Amino acid sequence: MINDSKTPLRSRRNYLKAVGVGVAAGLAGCTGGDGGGNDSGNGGTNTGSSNGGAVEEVVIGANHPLSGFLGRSGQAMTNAGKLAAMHVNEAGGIEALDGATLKFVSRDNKGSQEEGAPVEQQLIEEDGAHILTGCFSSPVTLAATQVAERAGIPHVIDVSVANSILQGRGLNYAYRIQTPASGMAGDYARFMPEITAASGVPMKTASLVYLDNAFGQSIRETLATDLPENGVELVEESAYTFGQESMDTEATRVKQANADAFIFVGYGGGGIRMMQSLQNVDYRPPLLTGTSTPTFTDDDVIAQIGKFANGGFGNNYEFDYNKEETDKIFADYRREYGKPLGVTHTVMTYSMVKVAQAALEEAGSVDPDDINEALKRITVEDHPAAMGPIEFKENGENKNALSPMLQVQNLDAQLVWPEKYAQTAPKL
Amino acid sequence: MVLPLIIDDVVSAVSEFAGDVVELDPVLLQLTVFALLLGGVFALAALGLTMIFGVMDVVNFAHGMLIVTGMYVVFFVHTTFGVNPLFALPVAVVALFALGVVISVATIEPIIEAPEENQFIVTLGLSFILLALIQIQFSPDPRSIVLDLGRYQLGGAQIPKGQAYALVIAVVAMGALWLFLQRTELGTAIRATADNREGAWYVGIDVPNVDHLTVGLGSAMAGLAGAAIVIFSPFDPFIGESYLVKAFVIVVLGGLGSLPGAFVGGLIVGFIQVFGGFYLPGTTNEIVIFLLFILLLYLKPTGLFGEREV
Repeated sequence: MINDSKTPLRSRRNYLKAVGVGVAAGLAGCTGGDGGGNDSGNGGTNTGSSNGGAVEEVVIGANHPLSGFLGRSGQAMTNAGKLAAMHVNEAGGIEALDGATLKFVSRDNKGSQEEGAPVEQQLIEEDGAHILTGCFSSPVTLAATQVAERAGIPHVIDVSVANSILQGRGLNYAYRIQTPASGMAGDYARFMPEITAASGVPMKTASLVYLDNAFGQSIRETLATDLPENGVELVEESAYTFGQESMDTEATRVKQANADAFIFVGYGGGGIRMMQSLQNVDYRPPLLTGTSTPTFTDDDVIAQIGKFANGGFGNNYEFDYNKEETDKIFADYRREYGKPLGVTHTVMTYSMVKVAQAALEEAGSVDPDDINEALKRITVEDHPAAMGPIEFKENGENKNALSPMLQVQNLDAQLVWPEKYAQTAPKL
Repeated sequence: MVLPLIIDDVVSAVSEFAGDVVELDPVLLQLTVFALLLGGVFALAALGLTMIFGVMDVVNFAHGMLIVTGMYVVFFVHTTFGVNPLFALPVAVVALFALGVVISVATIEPIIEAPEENQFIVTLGLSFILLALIQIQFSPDPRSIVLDLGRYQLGGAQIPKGQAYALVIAVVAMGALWLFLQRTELGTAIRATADNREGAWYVGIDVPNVDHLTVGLGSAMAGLAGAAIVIFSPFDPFIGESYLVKAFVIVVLGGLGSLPGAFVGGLIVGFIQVFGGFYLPGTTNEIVIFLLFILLLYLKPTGLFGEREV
């Protein structure tokens, strides 16, 4: 990956910092110090040491949708990030930085692509973020990571699915914990036939309805290649636009195809509308499924759909309910925010903070380049997600990212596959 | 080039459609049912927009959010008082009428003679305010109070009763509005104002009050549309943008200010969306709608039923 894209902005900061350190050293008649310092703009608090070892507070800047149609998810993710920071601080903070605490600062990108870059800039310039995260919506993350790259601040993506964010852009400061589109759809294409094979239910054909944007198209492309490799023929495809008033036409096509499985790809609102339209045409697919959609994994969306969602399969990142830490997160979330943790995206933001903690411990410094180098080396086992240890490949993707399968049972999404992480057995 | 690809898609879709017609494929009946149902709702959604423009020459960019407000009025009444959404429908109409009058008095009247861009800014600003208020009050999450009314069967085609009720509501509302405009004194005053605002002043019509009444009625129609949609479709605060865009296309297709135009335009868009969605690849049907829109603007700028310059 390239490492030659630093902007004049950062160079200017380095220059001013070096001048400042030089002047201070000269005034003190001192020539020591390694010049590492805090490269955090005006946000992080330190005690004046130039080697980064006496930082009191490390800022994690979150570029999240706190309003708009993704606002509920964004707010929950921010809450989870703050909770994770609180847990780290309660356990003594960052040991390698003499117990420095984590501060999770979130700004609102409204889910709008136009806001991605300016919000990222504000987190760096005004909040002094040492490490960044976000942004949920893929177009927003595309814009934000470009800014982080120019400024030379590591951006660890918690949630954003489009392949194109990390692939083919040569980014050196961007990492992703969650499975990208190809991985999510790939996991679905692998796991769903495994489940049906284990249960003796045929899944030889599938129909697909997907949201016609970068996210939906990424998923669709992977399904089109991976499903046949797993013995499933994609016999019908329909696209729909965001905010489409009715999906009765798509439901009619799905009914006509009458494939073994129906796959839905889209956001929650589209999922609710699609399930309504399937009922409008009086059709219940033999296997009701989805990938990269909250339709069968988000409690609120499931509640809006009602009983029709029962039996539906979906895959997404999810908490590992076999870990004790998960119970504590759920309990503390309810206590801190007065409501249950019902948004699965939170697991990625919580895990991001654990990644930041590990990187800071490894780096022993808040210099963005030191953190960045540490991110390339670390293996994070202490996280609550249902996946293996988090470690990043050269292109920034998580080597062990996983999107397990969930099934709606009694209007509750239960993790059912792979068996290693399963809460209960799938029911077909 | 995108255009030749779209033309290829359209030609191929027409060919497939012709094949289904020849074979009398039952899916045609199902699609026709859905097109009529959707077209009726689109027409209802466009009705208030075209009425306000026809009388006042004001393009109301808040119209989509007024539809959404109607949805949330029904949602609030239903969830707070347990009232059946069908019975909550008149509440939405009255509430939106009142809101429309307030909007007219407070924001539109002061700028009625101002340049058109002022109307654009004011009504768009109103739209943002309504969106923010609804998000604050009800959250951005999608909601659903779809009535499980079942379906009628027609020759193998399914007719969801909720959508059928919405269509009936749309037709009755359009008929009632037409009768009101044609057969009542107030309606005559509105038509007179629409024909000639200055002339209406001279013959003693209180034009500002007619304006308030018009915005109130237009908003009530938007509220009715929203309330009808809630019966059969999930909704969220952002769905208004989609209905606003469709309503604009419909009123331009039908002719700005024309009530019959809104009905015919709604059906045209409904048929393109449903049949195009079925036969055309991807979301090409959306492109076809806007191509038709542009073509009509070029060939007949006044729209199908319009009499004035667009």
